[in-house]
Amino acid sequence: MTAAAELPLVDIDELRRVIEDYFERGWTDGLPVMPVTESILAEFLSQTARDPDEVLLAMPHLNRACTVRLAAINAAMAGCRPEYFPVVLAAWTALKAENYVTRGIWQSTTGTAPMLLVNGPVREQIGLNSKGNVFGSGFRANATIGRAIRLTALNAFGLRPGELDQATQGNPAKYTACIAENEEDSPWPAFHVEHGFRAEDSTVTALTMRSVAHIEARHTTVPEQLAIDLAGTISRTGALIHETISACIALGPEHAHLLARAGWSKDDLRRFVFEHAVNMREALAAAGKDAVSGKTRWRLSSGHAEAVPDSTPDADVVRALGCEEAVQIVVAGAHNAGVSAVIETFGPRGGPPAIAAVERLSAR
Amino acid sequence: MLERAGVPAVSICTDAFVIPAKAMADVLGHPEFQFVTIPHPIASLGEAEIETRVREIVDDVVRILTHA
Amino acid sequence: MSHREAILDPTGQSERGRDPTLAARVPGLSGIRLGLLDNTKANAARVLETLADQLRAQHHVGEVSTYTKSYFGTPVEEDRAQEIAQSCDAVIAGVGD
Repeated sequence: MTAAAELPLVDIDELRRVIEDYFERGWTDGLPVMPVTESILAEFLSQTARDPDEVLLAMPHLNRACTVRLAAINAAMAGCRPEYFPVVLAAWTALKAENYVTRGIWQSTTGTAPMLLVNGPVREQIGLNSKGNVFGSGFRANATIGRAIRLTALNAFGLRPGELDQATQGNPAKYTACIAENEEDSPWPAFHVEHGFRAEDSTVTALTMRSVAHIEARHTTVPEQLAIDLAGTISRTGALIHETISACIALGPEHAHLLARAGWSKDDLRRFVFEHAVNMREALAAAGKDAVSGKTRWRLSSGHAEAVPDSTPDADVVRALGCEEAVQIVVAGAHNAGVSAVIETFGPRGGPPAIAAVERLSAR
Repeated sequence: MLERAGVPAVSICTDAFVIPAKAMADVLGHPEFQFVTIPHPIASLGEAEIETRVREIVDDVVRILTHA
Repeated sequence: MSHREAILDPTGQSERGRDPTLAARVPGLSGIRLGLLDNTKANAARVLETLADQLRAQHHVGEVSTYTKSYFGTPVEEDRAQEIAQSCDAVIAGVGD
């Protein structure tokens, strides 16, 4: 019996009753939530200058809206500490700017989920992990900030599986997905700096992710070989619902340094991947994806009644990416092996990513 | 939306989408909005199969548009 | 033992509005102007057109117009709904996947 007296004593019946009550009301994602009352809510609202009734995101087609107050209640239930709340608010701003959420993407059969990328000093301030197990568990800030968005989707927007969420399979990020960039182990400017923010700004970037595909490339020091592995993963035919795809490459630091040592910038990698993320026309035909629908522009067989030619009908080699900007690049993970990942995303298949600054309260 | 604009409407959906379709009607304030269901899937069907499935739902469509 | 506080509702559901009245039905289909609202997914238009053909043959519906949703993921926009309501007596919408 070591130090049993130092462990807290609780009213276990009451604790259990409250947690079970949340489950009975259908207010959880399947995991227990933190009970939230007005005094807890007040701690969260004190972290922002914004009006509690301000609408962060409306979904008119669902007749629902998420206010600052609802976002705070759900963030607290997700297990966030109050000081995480400005990051959660920035995430909502970025998600709104990304503009897929209000178009029903979280209800879609595709089963996408929000993936948040955090940059800047706030990572250190609140303990966001950007290194080993960056997509994994064990870090409260990562786990609860991502969960805050999903709990809000379930509770405030009513996007429950089998009801308003029609995902055929969904994906594990429907519980939580929030990573930070490993700026310290990156040979390049940080993601937010690349997109016009100052290094001392903190930002949240919103992605709509379909899957995280793992890249094993421990075998090489040749940048082109690594980049071919990345491009080949992006271009797989199974990912092609639309004519082209978009992706965020999460380079492990070892891979980022391999490229930088060979003199490659992020733009060099982007250009190479754009050029090499291709399918042979006959490979697309073999998968029944060598044309697009005249209505949705989704890929289908050229034999289908609604088929029209894709954008490059005369090309034997067909690009999987519409433009270089359809590929974003960040550095994340531990500096310990030749491992990276491709985050397959739903747009923007071109154009800048959706990035929002994290609010800083002057009187802190 | 169409019902609110004053025109009677019926929605055809495959049976795989009945629950979300009803949930949508509910959040939009029309819990009694009616659907006609046809067996899933539709996207991969040929002409003759479409013909058959449509024949099975004609009477339901007529009923919903003419009787509240 | 400190003070007790109520748990907060995370859904905001009390703010929701309702409008439960469906539009008046048509007395019969003979001669009516029928609208078809295509959600653009594969084969949706073919199902709707086949249905319209059968309604024309069996129930003598009048003019048939086809409308296409601008995006299948969300409901038809308010002004578009008004436009359809003015040119049609009844509408058939569909179909998903």
